[in-house]
Amino acid sequence: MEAIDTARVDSACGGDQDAFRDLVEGHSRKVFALAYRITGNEHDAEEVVQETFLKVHRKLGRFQGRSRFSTWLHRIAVNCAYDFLRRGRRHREGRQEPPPGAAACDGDWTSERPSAEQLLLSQEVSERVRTALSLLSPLERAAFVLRHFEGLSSREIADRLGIGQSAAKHAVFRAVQKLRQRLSPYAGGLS
Amino acid sequence: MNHLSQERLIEHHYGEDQDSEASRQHLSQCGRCSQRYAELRAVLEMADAFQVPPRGQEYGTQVYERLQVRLQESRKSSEELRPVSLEPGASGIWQRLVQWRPPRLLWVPALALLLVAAFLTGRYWEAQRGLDAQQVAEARRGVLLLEVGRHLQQAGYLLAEVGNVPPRDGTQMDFERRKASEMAADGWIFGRAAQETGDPALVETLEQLQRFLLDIANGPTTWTAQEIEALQTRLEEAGLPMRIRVLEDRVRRQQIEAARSRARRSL
Repeated sequence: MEAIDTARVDSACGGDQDAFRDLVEGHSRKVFALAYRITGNEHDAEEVVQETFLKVHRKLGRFQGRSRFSTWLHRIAVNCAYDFLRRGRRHREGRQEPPPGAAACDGDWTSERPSAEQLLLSQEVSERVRTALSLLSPLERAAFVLRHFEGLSSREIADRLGIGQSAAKHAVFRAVQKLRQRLSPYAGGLS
Repeated sequence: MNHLSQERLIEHHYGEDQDSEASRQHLSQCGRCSQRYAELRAVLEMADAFQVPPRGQEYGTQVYERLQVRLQESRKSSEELRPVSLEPGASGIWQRLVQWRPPRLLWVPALALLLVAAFLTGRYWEAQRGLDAQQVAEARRGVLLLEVGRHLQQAGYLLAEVGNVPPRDGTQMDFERRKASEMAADGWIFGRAAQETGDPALVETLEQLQRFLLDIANGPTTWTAQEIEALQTRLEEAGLPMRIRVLEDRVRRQQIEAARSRARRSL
């Protein structure tokens, strides 16, 4: 996949629009999932996806292939989402409910279908988590998403957000503390 | 037995514990820590339920098509770049009214008015209820400690945020400015109220914090790397985050003491 991406970047740099289209089509859903988790809002996440690929388009010539394309893209997406939050646009509009039956688009899909009750419960829990995440500061939120959902180490988080490793650790720590305050009354009820 | 700190439990959960084996052993022997760890894991597992709205197979194509429109627009606008002029009639009275924002200084008399009203209402209420002066003083102190504790906690988070902003040119500080502005409005009232407590450390720290909050709130929307570094250096030199942390602990202890004292009196 990486070799294919590198070849596509080379072609796109040479003006091949189809190669650029393949890059966008191949990575959009992952970028959206990351952006949604950081912004907590579909509309804002879409905006971040657009900003990310606009930046990629502008900077494509500077991609030197020293890291993987997906890592480079991830870094740009994190920066766009983090900057978006810091510009304070997350309160711009009402929050949108995910449609019934919404499932993680980048998660593992199992053949077992949840019951209606399980579905309702998971949506309710998801909403509580989303509210709790919305109370975090941009740095805490971005650091937590990178740690918890993206599985990045403290060093990688520090690198993505352009901060020190100890600052990254503390941001995750503060985020978890706040989430605990907010979610622990409900956490016991989960099975 | 040294219990595992919250930081250590979090690191252990995410596989970044420096001495994972020792933690595992401790968790198997210590009921208190294993319970705290179980609670932490329950919360983090709950976070896993955060769902991302699904996007279909055609999503990538839609993103690309929208992107094409944006790319064409940006090409066009760079070609047609020219000075923007105001449309005739754009300075109508309604437009000016809609765009009017109250000057920041108007908040100060408004808050002062609120404070005086609260004071007079309190006096009236006390006289009506015939409450014991000491009870009233204790209740006031309790409320003040609670609110100051919250204020300090929020300030600690904000300063940590500002202290960790990567120093880059063109950094947007909207979030920090908005937060600092909200907190500065509260801080002014707490500063006045803290003077009544006769606690010089609290008064001094709140004053110092207030200056930082106003600097951030009145600062530019976009900061340069140099401005960020200057603020971070000032914060570090003033030792404000540490002072706030110490004070926050003290206020929390005082809150507990005040609550105990009230409970004793009610027995």
